[in-house]
Amino acid sequence: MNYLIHDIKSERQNVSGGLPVGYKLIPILFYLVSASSIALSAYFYLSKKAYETAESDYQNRTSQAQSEEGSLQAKQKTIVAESKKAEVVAKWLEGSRPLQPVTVVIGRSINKESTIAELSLERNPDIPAHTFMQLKVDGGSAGQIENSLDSIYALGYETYSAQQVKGEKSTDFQATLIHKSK
Amino acid sequence: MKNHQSACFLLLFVIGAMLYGVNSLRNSTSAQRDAMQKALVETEAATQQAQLAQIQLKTLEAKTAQLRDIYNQWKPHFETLHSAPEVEQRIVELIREGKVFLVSQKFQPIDVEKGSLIPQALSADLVVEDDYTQALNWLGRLEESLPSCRITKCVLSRGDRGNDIHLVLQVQVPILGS
Repeated sequence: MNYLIHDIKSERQNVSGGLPVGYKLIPILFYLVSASSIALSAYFYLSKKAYETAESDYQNRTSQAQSEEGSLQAKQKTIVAESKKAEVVAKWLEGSRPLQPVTVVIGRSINKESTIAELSLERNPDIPAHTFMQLKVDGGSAGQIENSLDSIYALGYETYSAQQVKGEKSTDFQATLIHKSK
Repeated sequence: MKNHQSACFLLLFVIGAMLYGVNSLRNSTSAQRDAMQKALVETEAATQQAQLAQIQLKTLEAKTAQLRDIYNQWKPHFETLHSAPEVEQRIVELIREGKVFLVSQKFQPIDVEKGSLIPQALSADLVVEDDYTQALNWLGRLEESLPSCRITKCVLSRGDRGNDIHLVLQVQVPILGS
């Protein structure tokens, strides 16, 4: 057996004399760097994937938020447009309060001794909510105009710039009527 | 150069390549982290904008609720009549239905506020002479049937006969713009 082995591996001298001391650190460094590279690469790769997922998630949330904001702004525009229309309607309505009740209560407030010679109700063209009233009553007592005014007040109107001129047989009264709800 | 030295230089090259590769990956990860942080900032800004828009919408809704309620309640009345001929016809119908004696009538369109919801109105100048009660009842029905109408002038005076009154009216009926 020894003979056979001896035949296979003959005695010979070393091909190289081994690495110098300084060079021996290189393989050690190689092993360290290889191990560290694998660990760090795995860490960086996983981190990158996590950041990519997070970025994608944030981008989706941004899109949703922007979409929501767009929808809310569209609703705001609708409301603003409706409000503008509403303002026009409200402005019109302010000057459209029915006048028939005023004429009726004035008519009812007139006593038997008096008659309405003329009742004029005219809206101010610039401020239609202000109604200029002129009332001419023939005959009756001094308190007739007060009675009529009480009836008007009962409807929620207030009088401004009131003027009364009492003649021999008639009384002229004029005032601006403004509803309290104004 | 001996084989040992060649092997060492080869190893050093491989070490350099590995370090370069890891560093590239690190840079790429840093860039991705920066992109993620940028996306986060954008998300926060967009979310804040959306919240702000939500608050503004709620405030606007609350602020204009009453006004819009009034508008929605009155809108059907304003939309009933779309044109001057329709308004004219409706007023003529009301006069006929009220059976009041019409002395004169004149219709003319007037400008209200160009470009607004109510750009025009039809102004009707009517002179009616009839029984006191009947004339005032008709006036009430006119205002009831045309709730959006505005009586700009109403002059009552004695009529020519007994209990008659002479009623001079100027009525404006709004016509909504398209």
